[in-house]
Amino acid sequence: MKKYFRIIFAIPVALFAIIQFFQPEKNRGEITQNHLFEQTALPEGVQTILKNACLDCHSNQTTYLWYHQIAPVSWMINSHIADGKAELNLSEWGNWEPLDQMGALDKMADEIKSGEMPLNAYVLMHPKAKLTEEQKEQFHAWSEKLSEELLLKMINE
Amino acid sequence: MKKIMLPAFVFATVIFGAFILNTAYKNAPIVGEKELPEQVKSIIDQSCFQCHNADSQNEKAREALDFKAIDELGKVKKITTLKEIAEVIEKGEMPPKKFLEKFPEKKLTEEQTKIMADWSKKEIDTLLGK
Repeated sequence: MKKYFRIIFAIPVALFAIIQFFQPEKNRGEITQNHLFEQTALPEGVQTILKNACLDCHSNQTTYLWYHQIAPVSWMINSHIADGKAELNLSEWGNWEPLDQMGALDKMADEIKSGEMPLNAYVLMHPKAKLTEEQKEQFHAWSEKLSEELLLKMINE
Repeated sequence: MKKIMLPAFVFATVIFGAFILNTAYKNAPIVGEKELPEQVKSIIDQSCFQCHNADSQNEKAREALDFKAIDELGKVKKITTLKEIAEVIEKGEMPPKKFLEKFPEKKLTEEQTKIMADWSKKEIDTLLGK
């Protein structure tokens, strides 16, 4: 009977150990000229918002927490990042047409305002990602200002 | 008796007024309707407007886009809205699957999709002065 229990216990532990060898590639790219921060001068507050609430999944540079390294959490995190980057990758900002940049700004501001983004699950684990009303307004104001600049640029092109 | 006349009159006026305003609003044409090409208008009426109007029960759709109010938007918002219209239609995200299960006839044909996408792109170019 004792032996039986030992096996029951040992199987999950062994499995857990084995899956640690299957780790997804880390999202730790170099920051290039195309990164949003390199492309335009942002107010400090907006940079903080983006760093704290967006860039982990919407850029090529994720800041990992310790438990993100452990499978199966690492798999889940990896798929979140892949989805986030497919929607919007701010490391690629410089590669886009002004019209696409404008569209992205509009969507970002809308989703932040409505609370769709950042995701609740993310905010739960990253308290700094919880945006205040003030921060949301600040982001909105910035996105509108940059959009107006882009509009002028497109009209004058 | 006289005492309740005034409140009753005010009450009746408000109710009546609201009623008139409400119907007037509902019957108002889609803003900019005159400028909408016939084909675009009929596609919007057929497949979009049911949810994307100011009185829609569908809160998300109503807030995302009210076809009547497009002309009232600022230039940037108008451009991004038009861009989004083309995108979600081309990607097949709109009209939504659930809606099409109920109303399969409202699915956009390839031709209709192209008409909407071309229209929105042309509008954007016009707004950009091209």
